[in-house]
Amino acid sequence: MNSLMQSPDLLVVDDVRKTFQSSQSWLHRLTGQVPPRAMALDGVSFHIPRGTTFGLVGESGCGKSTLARIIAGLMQPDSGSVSLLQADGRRPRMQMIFQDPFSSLNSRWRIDRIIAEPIHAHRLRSGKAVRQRVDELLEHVGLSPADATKYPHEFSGGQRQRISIARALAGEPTFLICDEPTSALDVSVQAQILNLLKDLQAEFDLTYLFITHNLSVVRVMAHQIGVMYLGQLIEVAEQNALFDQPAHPYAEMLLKAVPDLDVEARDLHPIPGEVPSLLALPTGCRFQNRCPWMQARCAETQPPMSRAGNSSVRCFIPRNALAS
Amino acid sequence: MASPTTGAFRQPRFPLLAQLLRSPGSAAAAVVAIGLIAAAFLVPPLMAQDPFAPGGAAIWEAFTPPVWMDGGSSTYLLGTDNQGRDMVASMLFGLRTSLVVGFLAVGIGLVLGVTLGLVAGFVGGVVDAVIMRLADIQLAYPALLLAMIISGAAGTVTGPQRSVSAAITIVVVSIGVSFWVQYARTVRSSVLVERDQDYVAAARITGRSSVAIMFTHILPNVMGPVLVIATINLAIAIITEATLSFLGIGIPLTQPSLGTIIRNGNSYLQSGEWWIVVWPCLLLIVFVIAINVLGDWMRDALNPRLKRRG
Amino acid sequence: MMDALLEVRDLTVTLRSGSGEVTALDQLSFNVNRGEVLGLVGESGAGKSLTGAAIVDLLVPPLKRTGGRISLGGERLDGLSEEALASIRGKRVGYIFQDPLTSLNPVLTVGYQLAETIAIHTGMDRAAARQRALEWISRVGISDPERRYAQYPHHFSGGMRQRLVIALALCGEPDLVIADEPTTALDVSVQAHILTLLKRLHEETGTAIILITHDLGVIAKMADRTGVLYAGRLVEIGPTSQVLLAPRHPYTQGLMRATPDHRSTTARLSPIRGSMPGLGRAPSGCPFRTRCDHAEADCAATRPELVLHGLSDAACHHPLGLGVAT
Repeated sequence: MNSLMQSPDLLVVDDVRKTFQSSQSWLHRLTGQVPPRAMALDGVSFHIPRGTTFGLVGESGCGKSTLARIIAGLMQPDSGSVSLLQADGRRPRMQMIFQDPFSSLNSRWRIDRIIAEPIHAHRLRSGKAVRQRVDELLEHVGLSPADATKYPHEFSGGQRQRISIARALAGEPTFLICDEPTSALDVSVQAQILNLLKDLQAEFDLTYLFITHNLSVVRVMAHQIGVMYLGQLIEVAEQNALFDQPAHPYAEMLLKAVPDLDVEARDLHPIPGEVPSLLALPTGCRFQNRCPWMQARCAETQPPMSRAGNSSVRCFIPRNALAS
Repeated sequence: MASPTTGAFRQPRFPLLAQLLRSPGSAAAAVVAIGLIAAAFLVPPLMAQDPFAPGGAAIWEAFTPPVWMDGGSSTYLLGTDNQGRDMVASMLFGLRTSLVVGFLAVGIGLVLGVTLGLVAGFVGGVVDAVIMRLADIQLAYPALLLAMIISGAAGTVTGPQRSVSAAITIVVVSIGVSFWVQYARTVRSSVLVERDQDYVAAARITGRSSVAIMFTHILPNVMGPVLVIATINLAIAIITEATLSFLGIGIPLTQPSLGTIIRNGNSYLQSGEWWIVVWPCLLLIVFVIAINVLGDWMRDALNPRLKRRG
Repeated sequence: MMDALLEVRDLTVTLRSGSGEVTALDQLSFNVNRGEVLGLVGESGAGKSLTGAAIVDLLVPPLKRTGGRISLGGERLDGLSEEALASIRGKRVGYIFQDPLTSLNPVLTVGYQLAETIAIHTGMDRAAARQRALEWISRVGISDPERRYAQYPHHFSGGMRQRLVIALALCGEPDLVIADEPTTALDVSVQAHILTLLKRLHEETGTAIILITHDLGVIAKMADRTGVLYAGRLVEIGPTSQVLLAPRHPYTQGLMRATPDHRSTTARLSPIRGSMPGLGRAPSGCPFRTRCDHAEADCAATRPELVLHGLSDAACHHPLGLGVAT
């Protein structure tokens, strides 16, 4: 794993910011008031070494999906940059796998047409070779070439996710954004898809951005993990470092809040309070109203991203520093 | 609620047909509508005499009542009109003209409306605003009034003596143009939904152009509701044509259409020759009801909310 | 013998479609004891939500209960008129739905909805019902009940709405609450709040709970006993620790192995091959046999019935873990 982390960066995200204007109501227009802007992403920076998986976790509204759409080029950031780099001079290609296995495939298209779309778009193959490639891809993702002539509605959710993966691979990408690829699936099928993604990564030297709300899934998949809270990356750490010694109080409490499979220890550990609105963020640390270890300075200044143990963390009093 | 796993039921080869057969009322409507359309287009070319051609009718057999009445003739099952034309033949010729007008009008409205709706929904912004405000303005005029305005305006250009084909063209265009708003609004709202679907995002990431996405991805997904409207519009177009022709601003009396036949027969209702007006009215009613029942059924059968997850 | 509050015997639900009838729930039998939490776990399409709905006959056509006996505190629920059932729902059996958005009426204040429900179930007058509603608002952990009483559902966050739904389900002081995926729509940190609340109210009121979920973690933290559903059948039921730690049925074991746990450093999960057969497509005999590593000829021939193996019941011809035990 360490050798992997030293490979050159494939994706560099630098200080990305994005705000959304909440829609102007007639009342606003009448009174000339400007509605408040929601800070969806605030100074997000990270990088992914080639061939590794960066896991992005957070609860709904933390900005992880907005970030995915910006990295995918579907949305422009207000400021900051996203760069895909490749050492060998080839133009790096990216593809994306989506959460909803129903809306991610065009229900009026046959499977062979769906999978062939990136092949045609990038002019990777032509003529009979396209069909051959489609068959090959279907087999790669555990389906059969006979499925090529079917329509999406003839498949289950898990199979549709395999088709999505085949379509992504058809574009011969170096970088794959996986946006909650298994959260619509059942656990037994989820395990199949996660294993498939791992196998494909090893086989094709793929780099993944893996977005999920599920901490258990991210532990299985990611080499590095970033935890988001209210539009900010509050901790970035390598897989085991985060789970063994979380540095940010939110990361620590979030880990405790997940109901694990331990039947003996049945206590639940909710995080006190509620997430503040993106429209009314506190000055200082964004987690201050829920943090049991909050101090005066947390309310005054926003903690910068700094190094603590094996993590980068936005906290003045990182939890892992106390332990050592 | 636990929804049944996708693919729980085997899809029949012709799912819509199988579904149609399960609803007897709709199946009957389909038989009536398709039967009448087929008769209107297939029978007239086979007839020896065009009753509307000069000398095509036997004037001495005018006002023959239907076969079961005194003085009826087995040659003319439903009787003849004031010119001695067989009612059955007249109505088939008339229905054919009405259908041609209907199909062309629906076609014009459909092409115009679908294109404008696609562009409005996909491009958005000022283009969207302009198209939709135009639609709002047009909606302020009832379709019939609009058709009358267009027909009248065209009349000032062509003068009162216009050719039959010019008259038909004017009717077709004026009805067709009055339809586009419905298509545009429906397509636009579907596009707004489809535009945000992940399959569109996937195509964008792959690098497909907006035009390619609009026509290859989005268009096939918004056609369902469009077909439903087109079906119902066919009925409306035929009624509108009949109304315009009845009012004398549509198709000239020399050209048979359901409207002109009814207009002609209306003069004889008071004098007792009721069949000249009643049969074409009945035909119009039956055909329009059949088309509307079919349209209602299609609306349910193509409902994406019932279909998508099923 | 424990005191059974709800007895379900051979509960069968069928779905009528154009092409015939398919069995959606196949002869389910289980008990819910007074004051216990029974977890029902399974993957989508296993029939767990259907089970909850069938108990109080909330099924909508084309689904229909076609067999089985259901009794609550000795009184038969099947065969009751719609009117009689309506008075049982809410009063003796509370229901918590998955989606807190659609379970509350958006045009009525939450206080009104609570007070009305209380008045119907207890026969209290308006003032007393209002007082009781205020108590419930604070009881489910919402501060400033007087102000909150007059607010509409859209003023509340998702987690707060689910608290209100819980209050609505419990305010009639039912003997049994059916909670259908009560935290699935919620974030992890909110989920922990809601589960804690459910646990506290369960301890305070002594109501029994049927907790329907797909999440084994929720089961591990909440359920006293657990039933596992697969393709419309109950394949295993027993004390939660027994079912999760020493599963008898290969499906239960497969489910446990496929579930990632953030405490473990496993780099690879063990999926169950294939996927659950769709409605009406379960194979003959044991419905799981086509995905099972232990299947033998008899699994296809005869349908396994629920049989007690040690501490839990499993419907399997070749139950796991018995080589050592017996």
